[in-house]
Amino acid sequence: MDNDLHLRNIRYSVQDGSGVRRVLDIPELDLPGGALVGIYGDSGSGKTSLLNLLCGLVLPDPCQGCEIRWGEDELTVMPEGRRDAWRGRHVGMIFQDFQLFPHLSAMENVLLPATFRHFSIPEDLRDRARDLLRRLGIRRTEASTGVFSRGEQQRVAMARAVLFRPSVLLADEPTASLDRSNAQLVTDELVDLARSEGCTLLVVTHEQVMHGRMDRRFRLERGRLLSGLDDALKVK
Amino acid sequence: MNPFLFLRGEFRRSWGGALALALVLAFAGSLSPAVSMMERSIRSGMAQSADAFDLLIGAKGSAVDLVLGAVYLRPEPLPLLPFGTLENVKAHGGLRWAAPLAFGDRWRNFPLAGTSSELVTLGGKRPLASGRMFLNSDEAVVGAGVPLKEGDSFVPSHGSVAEAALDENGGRAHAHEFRVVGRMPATGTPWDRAIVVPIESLWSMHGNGAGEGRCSVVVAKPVTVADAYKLRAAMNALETQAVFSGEVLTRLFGTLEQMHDVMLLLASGAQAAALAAALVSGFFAVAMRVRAMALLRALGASHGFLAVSVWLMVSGVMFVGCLLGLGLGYVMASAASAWIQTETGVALTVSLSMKEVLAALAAAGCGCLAAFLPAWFACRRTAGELLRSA
Repeated sequence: MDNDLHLRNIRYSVQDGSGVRRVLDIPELDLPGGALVGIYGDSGSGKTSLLNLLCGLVLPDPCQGCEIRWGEDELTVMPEGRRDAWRGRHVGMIFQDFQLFPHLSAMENVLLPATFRHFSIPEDLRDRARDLLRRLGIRRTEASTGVFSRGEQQRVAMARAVLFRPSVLLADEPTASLDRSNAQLVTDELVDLARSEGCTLLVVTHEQVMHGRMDRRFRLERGRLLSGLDDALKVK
Repeated sequence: MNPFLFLRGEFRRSWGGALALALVLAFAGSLSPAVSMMERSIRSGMAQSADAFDLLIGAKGSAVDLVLGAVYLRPEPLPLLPFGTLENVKAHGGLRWAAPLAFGDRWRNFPLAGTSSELVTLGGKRPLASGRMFLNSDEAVVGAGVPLKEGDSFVPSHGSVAEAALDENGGRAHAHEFRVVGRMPATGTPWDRAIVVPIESLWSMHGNGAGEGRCSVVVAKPVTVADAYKLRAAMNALETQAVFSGEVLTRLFGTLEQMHDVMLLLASGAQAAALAAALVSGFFAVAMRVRAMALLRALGASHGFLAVSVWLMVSGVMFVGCLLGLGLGYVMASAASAWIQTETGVALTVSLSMKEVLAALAAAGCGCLAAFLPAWFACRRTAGELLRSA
């Protein structure tokens, strides 16, 4: 399936104490499906907002010709319910602080998104969850994640993100709260997972090591997308 | 969709709060069924106790005191009837039997009642459980709940049970000794705690001549309803009154019902307040879970998933609380009945009726309906709003 990303005329504003503030302004961006892309920028430059837009959690400011299109799927025209369903099917998300449910086991955390669409979780999904956890080095699959190390928690979150074989993997500072050795481990595993699952990976990160593993990288500055170290990225 | 996995995690996280809330609801919801069950059991226990006492004739005064004293052996100060009242009643005709009744003394906490064999055997219709009827003035027949065996002897003390409770020395003993010769069958009435002696022995124990030949009450069993009304009319005179115990009980039950209604109103108010508090807690629970809900939305959960999860969370606590309340109400009513039975001897049977079950289900239903409000509050917010609040 064509999974190229096309952004057109994207502006995104938020209301804060000082009034309406423009967070993002991206006239045009095209990315090929399956690319591994690193994004970096100062705090408040709009990195997280960009990820939220790319997965349809929020919509850009309404304007003529604005477009967030993954292959054939145009997010800006989808009603919220369809965007939820699309996100559940096509997008895996990984967060800086893991966002696990600490009172659920590793298996339960991985399978939680499956309960959004199944009453009884199919056996093949359980097998896949078990395989993913094993592949990521999680042995205590039935233990509560509240007792896991930070590195283990992030690996459980990664297994949850790829459970449905998403075509897009969005990671927001996935290694920022890990020590060096765990950060290296998670970087390797994230890249391996994205490659083996064939996902487009967009990672917001400041880690040079992570950027070094990306196909392409670019910088956000006050909501504007600037070409990064790789000018092959088509950015205007 | 299946929100139970998410709910399991949330329950593990905050089971203490959920349990506390359910218990508050259970306690508030227990009052109403407890009051209803108690009222019903008291009404039926009291009515059953009065079965043997169709018509009571006493000296002019309070009809309620007359019934409480004769039927329930309450230590009411019943004045003595004029000489010859029993004979007048018997002479009236239309009677199966009539028996005199006098009170005043006790053995330990068990009241002594002086009467004739007619009242003990209900005119020969109720045989003794064991032993035989008293034949002379130093013999006694005891109720099923009196801890004396046939052949045991005892010496009664002066004064009623109530007076004895006020007397630090335990009261003065009579010189008269009684021997137990028979035991009445268990009736589930205060008479199970009674020690019945010939009325003549009471007269001789208080042998000052003042009360000799007189009694406080005449218990009469007319042959027909018409006989009963005739006798009542005849005995309602200048110095005496005749009352149907059932009629007096109906008046008492009227008062009981009014109290029951007031208590039910208060209990329902308490339950409504507790349900409202639980509802507010539901909104707080949603507010505390904005981050979790934003995460669920990010992972692909729909509005519906959030709404159903919140609804199940809030309505589950309310439903469990209301049903626990029904059980707790039954336990409370049973405990209160057991205590009343110990105190009065009136056997009270607590039973759960469809009325209480339906009331509890209605309260639970209201809770489940109200739970739609926090569910709507949770699902009406867009993912963007949730993310900004998280």
